[in-house]
Amino acid sequence: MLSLAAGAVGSSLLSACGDDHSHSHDGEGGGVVDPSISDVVFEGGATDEALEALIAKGATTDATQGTRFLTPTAGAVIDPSSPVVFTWAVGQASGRAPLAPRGRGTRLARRAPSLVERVVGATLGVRTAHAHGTPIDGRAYFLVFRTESNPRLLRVFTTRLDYTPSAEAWAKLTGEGGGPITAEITGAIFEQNRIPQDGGPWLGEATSFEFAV
Amino acid sequence: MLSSRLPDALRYRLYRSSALLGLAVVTASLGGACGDDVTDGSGGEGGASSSSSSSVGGAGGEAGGSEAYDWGLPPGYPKPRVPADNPMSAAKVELGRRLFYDTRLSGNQTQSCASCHEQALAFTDGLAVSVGSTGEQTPRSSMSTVNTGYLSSLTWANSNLSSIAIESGLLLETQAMVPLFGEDPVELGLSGMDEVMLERLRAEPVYQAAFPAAFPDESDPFSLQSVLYALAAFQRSILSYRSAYDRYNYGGDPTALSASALRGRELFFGERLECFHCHGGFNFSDSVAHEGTTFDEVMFHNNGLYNVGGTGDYPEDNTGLYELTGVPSDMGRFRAPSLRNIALTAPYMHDGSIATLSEVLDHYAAGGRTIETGPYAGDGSQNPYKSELIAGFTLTEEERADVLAFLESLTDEALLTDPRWSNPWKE
Ligand code: HEC
Ligand code: HEC
Repeated sequence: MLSLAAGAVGSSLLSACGDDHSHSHDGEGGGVVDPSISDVVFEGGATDEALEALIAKGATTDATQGTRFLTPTAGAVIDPSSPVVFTWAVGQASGRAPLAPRGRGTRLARRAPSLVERVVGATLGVRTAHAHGTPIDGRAYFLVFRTESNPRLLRVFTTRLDYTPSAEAWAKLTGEGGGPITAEITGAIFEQNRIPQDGGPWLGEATSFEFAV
Repeated sequence: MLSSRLPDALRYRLYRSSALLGLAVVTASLGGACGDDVTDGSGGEGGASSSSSSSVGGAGGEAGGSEAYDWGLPPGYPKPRVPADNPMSAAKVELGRRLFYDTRLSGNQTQSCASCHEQALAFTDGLAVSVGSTGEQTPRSSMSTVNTGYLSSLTWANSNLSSIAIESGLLLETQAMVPLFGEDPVELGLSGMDEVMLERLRAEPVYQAAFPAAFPDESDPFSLQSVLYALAAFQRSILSYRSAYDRYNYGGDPTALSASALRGRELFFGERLECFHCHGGFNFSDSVAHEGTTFDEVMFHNNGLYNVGGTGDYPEDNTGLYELTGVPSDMGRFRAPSLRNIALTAPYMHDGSIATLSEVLDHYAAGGRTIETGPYAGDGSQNPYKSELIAGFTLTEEERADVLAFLESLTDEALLTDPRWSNPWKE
């Protein structure tokens, strides 16, 4: 029964990511990124090996291990003119929204990065695919934004508990033209990019928001 | 009796090369189940970084009953590997705790393990080098006994202990003999006094119940082996998993880390600072094994702390792995310690020669330490044996503060007062 439930949730996760996850790992080893995740934005040093491990394993729901969005609040109507910060927490870990990060992410969206920022960004900051970095130890989160018509509007894999869309990512979100956007997180605990037996993945509470017109 | 089989080599100069054969033989006599085929004298090649497949592996962990023992860890957090010959039990851990804090474990009954491994200091002693029960100084600084159950090698630089880990998993069991019986230097000063010690323990009413409870299958539970096994089980139970970093990284609590610590995390794990290559993974060390790992990574590095007279030498009494192997390129190579609770364990490095974390960053930023005058004068950044990962970097003041905030987030306050690991004789 348990496995049935897990299977059901797992397949809903997969359908959210599109149906073409056949996991043919023929390109493995040569550092070739699975084309089915080539759209994913990697942040906070998250790696594609870990994401593949997460996608390969069916997610379950568990209120203590799944995530909840802290910002924006469910049903929020958002001003599309500048990116908002998405924040979340695991289970009951924290009832408070963290202070809006005054970190690089926010600033990057608005002005040209400094040399230091570019150097750091090149190794750890925002990366698209090809994220063969330090193996992940600890939690990482696969954030999927979707609309009725586009199940993969924007996908992000991060080790952080916040995400500030880049200008490009923000344009994807705002460019959908009306209608609610749903965001959902599948999280897992990794051990050197692999998910141990008790490490999930867990499907969090979805949230949705709209842009003010 | 185990003790009668201890070779002289183990009784003397345990920090020195003659311990090489001794430790291997002792492991063979501990836990006969696994030890019979330990190869001796392989220390020469053991000097190099080794990565060997392990005979302990997951099987040892499971057979060790770690399933039944409650580590208290949150889901997804790695579990220590347990040698098949010394399964965990609550009774054994409790006995080990008593022994860890018991001054009857020193010749003159003035010191216990806890004298140099204090809970409030994350089980270190706050000194540059430790002072034994008879006043002798150890050549090296005390190390934290936190998360030692995850290590594939113990102490600052001992590849023999790594081999033991690979052969039998009885790493902590074996290492405890060094402070107990070592004579160069004397720490607890029990050399030749193991019977005296056991007599003292037999006379203690608490132990009259605790030894049989911990070792129910032994006809005489009061043995040196029981002491070593219980101490090891207690040390395996001391785990750090509740730091601010863990609350963020494992607990998913976004309020646990400040924005500054988060930026420091990215710097620490980035290619500019390179820290993570040697202090990576959940335990912030590259010599780590746990339940389910199939490889024992054991790494030793020269991080450019010295370059005496420009020769590449380290001070004579502290040459690292070279002391055991005599291989020139092993000069100054030490194990990268875990950085968990690092803000509490000053002074830093094997000889306590760096006072603060900020100065540790100066050392790495310069690609090695320069000592201007005195017997150890020399430019460590030019040490020919230095790891190529220690290349130097520049940090802005804000970035330096960020890295320090990150390192401070590795402090596990709950560990420092956790009653599971406190002095039971005070209760
Ligand atoms: C006189 C001080 C002193 C006493 C007493 C002492 N230790 Fe230590 N301990 C040290 C020092 C110094 C080191 C580092 C040794 C080295 O690298 O040469 C150390 C290292 C260790 C380590 C290795 C930790 C690591 O990360 O590799 C363990 C484990 C340990 N001690 C356990 C014990 C136990 C168990 C006892 C009691 C039986 C004990 N110690 C008694 C000073 C002491
Ligand atoms: C090449 C591997 C390597 C790299 C890279 C490295 N370390 Fe280390 N680290 C070591 C070794 C080995 C020691 C012990 C050296 C000794 O005592 O001689 C050490 C010691 C330390 C200590 C003192 C630990 C203690 O218990 O006293 C701190 C703190 C530390 N490193 C932090 C860092 C930081 C921060 C970085 C990145 C800027 C870094 N390390 C990069 C190998 C490395």
